[in-house]
Amino acid sequence: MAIKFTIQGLLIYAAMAAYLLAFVVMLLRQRKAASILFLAGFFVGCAAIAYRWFDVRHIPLQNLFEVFLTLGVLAYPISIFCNRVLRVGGVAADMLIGVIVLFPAGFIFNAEPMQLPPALQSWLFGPHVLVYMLSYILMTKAAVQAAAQMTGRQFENLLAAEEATYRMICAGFPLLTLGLVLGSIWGQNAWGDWWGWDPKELWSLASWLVYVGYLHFRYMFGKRLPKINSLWAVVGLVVIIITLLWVNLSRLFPGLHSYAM
Amino acid sequence: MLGQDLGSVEIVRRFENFKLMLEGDKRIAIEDINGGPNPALEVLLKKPDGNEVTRYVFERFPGHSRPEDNMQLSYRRPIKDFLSDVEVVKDNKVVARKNIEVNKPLHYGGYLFYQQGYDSDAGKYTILGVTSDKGLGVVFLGYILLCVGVFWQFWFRYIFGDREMED
Repeated sequence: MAIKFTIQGLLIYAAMAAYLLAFVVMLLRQRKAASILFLAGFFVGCAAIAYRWFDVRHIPLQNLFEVFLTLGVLAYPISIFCNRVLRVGGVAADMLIGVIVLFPAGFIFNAEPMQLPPALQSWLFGPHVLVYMLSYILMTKAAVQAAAQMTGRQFENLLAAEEATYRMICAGFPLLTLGLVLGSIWGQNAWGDWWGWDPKELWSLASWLVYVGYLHFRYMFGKRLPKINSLWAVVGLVVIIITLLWVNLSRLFPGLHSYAM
Repeated sequence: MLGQDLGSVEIVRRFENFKLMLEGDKRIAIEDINGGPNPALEVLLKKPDGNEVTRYVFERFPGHSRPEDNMQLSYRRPIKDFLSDVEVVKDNKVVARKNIEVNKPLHYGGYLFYQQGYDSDAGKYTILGVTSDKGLGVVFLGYILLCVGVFWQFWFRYIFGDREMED
């Protein structure tokens, strides 16, 4: 845990502050002011990414610092898209997700610039990671909606929380699939094997299977057991967090993805 | 420039193969064209009290620093790229040739040649992995079908389609 007294750090803190303020203003029911603050946070976050990009001279998706920075910035466009196009609300929760996701980038992970190792110099680097980032944010939103459904709450949704959970998973699941497939193709090119039994691969397959489970369970028992159905979406997020963090940080899993530290 | 109490560090010279030569009483550092590599840097430390000292930092012998300097110097050269120029010879004729890179393996005759490792000391040899997977086409066809299927079903029919996919 360290405060970053750099331009990079300050940009992240400014974005976090704007997101957090947007969340507070949203709770005070000032929607207009809150959405302006949310947008401001997004612009500052974009500046942080641009600064990083210029600094390291490759797409900033290499290590956990860069990934969490990007996740925090993606929270805004995904929130707006889900709200306007998919009619899934929970914008206040999205603002909080943005703060939570930027926190490790701001305070925990090391921001030392690193050169891209040869294994990551591939056209698949950007798409593989970016597709996963997008689906992870969508799945986080799904878990939030699922938690709301389980506790009997309702966001200022246009859709019921259960339906909103389903819609978020339908949006995120194809991207999760694509991420897995792109990773496998990359593995074939880089290591000569499309499946390497690497811990990261196994955990991302596990998270994919949890969502497969959700979809099947909903089809069979969704109407009768809506709360257990929502539990699948929450478990999915837990497995995603393990995939994203634990596998990289724990010494339990030395693997081919450990450079992503 | 490292700040008031440390002075500054300046890289004066780079060596691919560092060697010390005795010339009378003096020892001088030279670049030796014979023998194995010993990458090193000649570094000039300017101390805050105005003294200047020369130090050598070695890539292959880290932790070679002196306590009176109040600092640890290390020399690391991250690998930018890693290439193997490979020729496949069949009946005394070169039938395939490629500069294999980490993400660009060589395909020939149903075999896939990719770089598995290299001599980390001197870079004098490369370790190639060879695989052959006849079912690869089926796997990739499956991937295509899976991706087309999930995007079709979830995105185009349900999310962006006007048709509600309820039960």
